[in-house]
Amino acid sequence: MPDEYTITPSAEGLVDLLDRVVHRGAVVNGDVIISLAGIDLIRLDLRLLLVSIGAV
Amino acid sequence: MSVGLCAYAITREHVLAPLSPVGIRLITHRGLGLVVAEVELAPFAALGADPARWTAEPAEDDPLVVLARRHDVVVRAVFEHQPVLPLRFGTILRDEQAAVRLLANHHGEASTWLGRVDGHREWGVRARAAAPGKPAATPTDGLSGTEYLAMRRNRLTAAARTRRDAFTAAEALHEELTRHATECVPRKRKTATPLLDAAYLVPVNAEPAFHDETTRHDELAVEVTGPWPPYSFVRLELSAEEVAHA
Repeated sequence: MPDEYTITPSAEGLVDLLDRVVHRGAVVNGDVIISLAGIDLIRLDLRLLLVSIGAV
Repeated sequence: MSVGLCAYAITREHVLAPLSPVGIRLITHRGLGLVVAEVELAPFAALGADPARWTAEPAEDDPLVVLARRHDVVVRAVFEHQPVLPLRFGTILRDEQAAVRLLANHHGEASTWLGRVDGHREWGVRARAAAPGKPAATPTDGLSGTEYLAMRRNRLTAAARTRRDAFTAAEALHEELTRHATECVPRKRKTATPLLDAAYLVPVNAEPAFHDETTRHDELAVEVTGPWPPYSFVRLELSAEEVAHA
């Protein structure tokens, strides 16, 4: 059994990566300049929610 | 303003490893640290400029992918040395004061969460029915008696397993995997419909047994991804605003 499974830059690997990095993790509200959320990568239908506080 | 403080993860206060990604630093507060870097806002803002182009499959040179990979690289670099609570991609704070407020507002629950995932790594497992005609498993030569008995501790015999269909095998695989995992979450993939698609939070010392389970079902084609930082197991909503404390 290999010590680590290499995440190869295939399309499948990218969907796995993007689903975790963009869809998961703690959401921060409040004093945030930009927050990107709501990206539905399952259907590869990107919806970006830009929350801008102050000048961007 | 054209720059902001990109926040990648919450971790325990520590000295960053010498080979950490360039520009990364920790803003600390009472034993916790927020992993941050100054970033130009323009690349992030540009992601929203043309959503129509995101109908194709993602490629390595897509702007979103480039930024997402950097996010993952940063989180993993810290994860090599300390438990991490990943923040969602694209979390950019105004300044250091906001970072400290974030840690102060959520010190207790973040500390508790880090303690829970400490010593674990996330693994993704997908299983589909194996292609027809897959040969039966070959005997596992070279195992010691103890290793053999460990593999056979499951109450079902190997002969019974080969008679099960792939669906039942997938259910069994999931049950087996959860015995070695502290936590599991299903992954909602709507394009393909695999028999099993889940993320598992596995203690490092249980990984050999966990991976062993994934190779033992001939009815299944099993794909394992990982190890990942525990992205899929964060369920915190955080605020960097001023909060009146009781």
